[in-house]
Amino acid sequence: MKLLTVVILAVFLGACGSFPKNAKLNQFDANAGYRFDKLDTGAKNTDSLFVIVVMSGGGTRAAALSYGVLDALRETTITWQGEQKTLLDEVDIISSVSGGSFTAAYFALHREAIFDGAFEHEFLKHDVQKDLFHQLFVPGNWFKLFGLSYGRSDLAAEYYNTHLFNGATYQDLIDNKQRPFLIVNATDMTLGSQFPFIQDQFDLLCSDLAHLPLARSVASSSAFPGLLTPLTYENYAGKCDFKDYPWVELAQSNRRENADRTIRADQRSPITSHCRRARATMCIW
Amino acid sequence: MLQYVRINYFRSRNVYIDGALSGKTNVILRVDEGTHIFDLGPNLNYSPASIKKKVTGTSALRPIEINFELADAG
Repeated sequence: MKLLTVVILAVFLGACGSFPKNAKLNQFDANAGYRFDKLDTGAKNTDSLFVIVVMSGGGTRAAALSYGVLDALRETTITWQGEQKTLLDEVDIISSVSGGSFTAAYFALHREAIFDGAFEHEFLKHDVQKDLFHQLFVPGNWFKLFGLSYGRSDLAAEYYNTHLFNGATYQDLIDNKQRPFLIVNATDMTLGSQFPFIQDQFDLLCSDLAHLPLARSVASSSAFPGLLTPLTYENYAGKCDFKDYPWVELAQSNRRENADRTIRADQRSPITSHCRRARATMCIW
Repeated sequence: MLQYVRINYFRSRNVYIDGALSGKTNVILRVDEGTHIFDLGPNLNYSPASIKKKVTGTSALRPIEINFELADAG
């Protein structure tokens, strides 16, 4: 009887363990949200020198390598249009995946304060894997993990949110108002396509990226299939008066002109299609 | 492959490619290969209102040139 009670209680509480839903976008606005063209260049950044930094995956080693690259850019002094600066001052976009996303998101949030020591000591040199493993033995987390739509990656996202990003959301990046523009990349496992965490992509879901914790995008980007579970995002497509850009129709009606552009256009359509399942599930590495 | 276009107008103003702000008039802009719609955004005091053009086979030294003119006041 006691066992039955425990099982019933576990199932009941497990129902409470569901993924935190991404915010719905009530009205599509191409001029609002986290978009590259809405950010200022910044005090030392110029449009005449355009620098994109790409950070790849590979766990903590990738995060450390990315950190080293940023440090090297900071130590590289250049003279551009008569002004002395570092190459880091000129970084316009950072695109990242998996382990590289930790460094990318932290830098986008804190800029040069990433070199103050906290990121290095509390993340790069800290045994995060052990902490995540210990999370599995916290009784309160057992009930969450019973939930059908809450997995180990959701637990990891909560950990990153608390210990690394202090609850920061994309709204904090919008409020920073300056480049670099952060593109954390993940994979939409339902389509097998790239899923960048930018408002242009969230427009397709009729979702507001501004409210999303940075930690959740980083957890999505670094959820290695098999080891970690995919994170789930709600797809509200068709509920925000979204109208896709003219280039999509042009690319799809002139398919032989530019195959790459047509592929990009084709990847947008299923997300906004009304025939699609109501929920977008993404598996990321 | 990237292509090159130059949008000509008698003064500097914004250029929109496929509805997105993409640069200024009278300088060479880079754009994806393919068909695009070019316009100068608000105010609509220029002509034509937009130009649809296939952009291919260009280079930085030989961009496609697209011309807008000041619309007649009357």
